[in-house]
Amino acid sequence: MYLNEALPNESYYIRKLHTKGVLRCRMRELGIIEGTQIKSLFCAPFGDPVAYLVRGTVLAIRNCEAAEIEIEPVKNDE
Amino acid sequence: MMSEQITIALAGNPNVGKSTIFNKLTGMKQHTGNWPGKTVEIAEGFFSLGSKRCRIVDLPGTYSISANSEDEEVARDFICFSDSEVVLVVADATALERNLSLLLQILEIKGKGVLCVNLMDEAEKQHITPDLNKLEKMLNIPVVGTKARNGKGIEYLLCCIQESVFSSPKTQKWVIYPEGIEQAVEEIEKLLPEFGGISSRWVALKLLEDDISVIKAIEKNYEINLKETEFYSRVYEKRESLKQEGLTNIADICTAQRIQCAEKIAKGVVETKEEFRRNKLDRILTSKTLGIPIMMLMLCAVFCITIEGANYPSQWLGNLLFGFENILQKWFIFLPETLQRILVDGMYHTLAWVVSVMLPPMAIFFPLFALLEDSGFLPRIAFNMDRCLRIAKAHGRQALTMCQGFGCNACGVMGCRIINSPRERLIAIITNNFVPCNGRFPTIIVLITLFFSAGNTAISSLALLGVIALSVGVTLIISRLLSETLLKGQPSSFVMELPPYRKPQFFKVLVRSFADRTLFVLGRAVIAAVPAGAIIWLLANIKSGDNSILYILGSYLKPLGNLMGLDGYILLAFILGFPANEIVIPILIMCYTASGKMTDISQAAELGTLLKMNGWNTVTALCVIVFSVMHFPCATTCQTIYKETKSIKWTMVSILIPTLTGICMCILINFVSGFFV
Repeated sequence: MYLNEALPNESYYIRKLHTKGVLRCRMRELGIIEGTQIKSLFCAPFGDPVAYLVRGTVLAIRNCEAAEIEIEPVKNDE
Repeated sequence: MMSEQITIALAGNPNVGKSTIFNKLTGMKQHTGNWPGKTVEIAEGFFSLGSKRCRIVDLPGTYSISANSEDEEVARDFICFSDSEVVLVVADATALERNLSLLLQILEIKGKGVLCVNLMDEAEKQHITPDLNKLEKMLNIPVVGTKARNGKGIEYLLCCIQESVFSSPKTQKWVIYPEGIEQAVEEIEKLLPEFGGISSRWVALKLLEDDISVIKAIEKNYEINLKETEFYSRVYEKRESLKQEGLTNIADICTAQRIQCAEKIAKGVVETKEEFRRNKLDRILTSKTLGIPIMMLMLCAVFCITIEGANYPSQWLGNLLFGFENILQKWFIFLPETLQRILVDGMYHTLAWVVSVMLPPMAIFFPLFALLEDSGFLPRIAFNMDRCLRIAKAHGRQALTMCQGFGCNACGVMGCRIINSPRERLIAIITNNFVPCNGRFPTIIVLITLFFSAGNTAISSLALLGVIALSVGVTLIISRLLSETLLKGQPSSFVMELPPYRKPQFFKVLVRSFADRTLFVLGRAVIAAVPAGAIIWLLANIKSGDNSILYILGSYLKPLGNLMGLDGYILLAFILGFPANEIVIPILIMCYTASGKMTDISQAAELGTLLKMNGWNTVTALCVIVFSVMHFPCATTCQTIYKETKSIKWTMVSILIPTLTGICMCILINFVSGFFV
């Protein structure tokens, strides 16, 4: 599943980044890498962008870009 | 050879209080913007450390120095290639992990540094207590905790800086990469020449990563062609063999390793807070129903406070400055009559006008806006408006430059520096003038009151909101049009941080916004207004036959004016109002009353009578309001546009596009109204 499908206030692990170029670099530098936990917090009035919690920082990511971040749910028994 | 001056580079993430540290060390008044990109210009300051003189350079706030943006490139180039003896990295105690990532990058380059963990007071509030001693041991560099706002920790920071100057770069590896990469790095390192001030290990790493930006920078600074060197083929070989082992994207792997290293260090030093409470403010400001209305309300509140608050000071200042005119006349009594008139009635009078009308609103608006910046509201505005702006194919941050434009378009244009992509920055600059500045609001409001609302505050407010909606709408449409024609391209992507809300430092904000913005803009306007005052006086008082040149020019402009639903004088007033939008109505009054000097009519009713006597009706007023919103930028703004774009072509475009839009709109309104009136 992809980040734009994430349910609010649920934690996920990032599996893979399909973004390319400058955006990819920027995301990675901000800590959005494989294995990082990410949580969707709230969205803008028009639904886009969405604020996510990544490594203690709140980052706003647009839906079209979130659609390129593959995630998997954090298993409950962890 | 020990130089007499020590250079310190000041680096860190945005929003960590880097500029506060800068100010505390230099004691200099500096503009602190909370928003990334506000300090794109490198700021320099000086202070003494013992017997030495220190030069500290405040680098742009960056999350990393991978040179993905101009900010990062500037920071990286300074750290790598300037002769700085110390790099002082400022970190946020409440977000240590993220800040450590940048620190590690810098340590890998320089081999030494000083870490200043700031915002310790914020950390205390959130019950976060980083173990700074342990951090110092883990990093093997001096670590100082500070509460820059109150100056706590600065003494000790100075000691550590001094210590760092005399220490030599360490060869330790702060980040250890996977085996294959480490081996390759070691091999290449041995082949590299000495790069003074930069660790060879780092260069080897960047070569392996095939970081083109770094390669170009090194080639430029050391005047060598890396690709022709012997070791470059070795680098290529190593990269290929690593690919065989499955390590294809080395840059990715290295970034990930560094981030994980930062995570490990942070976890070892501070307890991670698991709970994240969505700030109540955010809940309201970004909610579906309340978000945008509240933003508009906030903006309206800022306008109201500005306009109401500026009334009395403007009057007082006007009385003071115009009162001085009489004294000035007495001083110049020995000069020929005409010269007296030009100096006093023309130049000084215009100057007094501009200052008394411009200064008070600016002195209120800019600090208010700076308070919003300092406290963290602005990123939320960009967050809310991003979707709209993206449909217009503009950058999310254009919402902020538009807000700044409400205060002063020159500042709005300067603020466009926060937009990294040149294409989107130009769009923001060109369309900024569609947002009416402080100078145009009084005109718009008085016309609304006279012709549309008859003093009813509710209707006035709604009408004003309508005008603002019009200007925002036109901005979006023209931005989209520009994106499809002159400035073709796709919207750039950006991941934006929403920093925590912080209590703004009131006094600091007030002082700095006054010095930086208010005085600066006023200064430029005055420089434009004084000669303009002379010209206007001459036009009004030199007669050809029975009529002044002003009158004659007005009649030349009559055809175009009438087409636009205006008259020749209104158009002339706008043209002569080029130095400052504030003088448009006074010039118009001067034309209508055929007086030789700019006058104002303090009673709105009197103004209404004068206008109606000269053929004004509701349509005229509407067209004037519309043209006021959509016309060429004032002299100060034009000058600023040229400075920011360094291009005559784009400055011309910025002048033509709003003007042509305004002319077309007015013609349209006039034409359509012909069916109703």
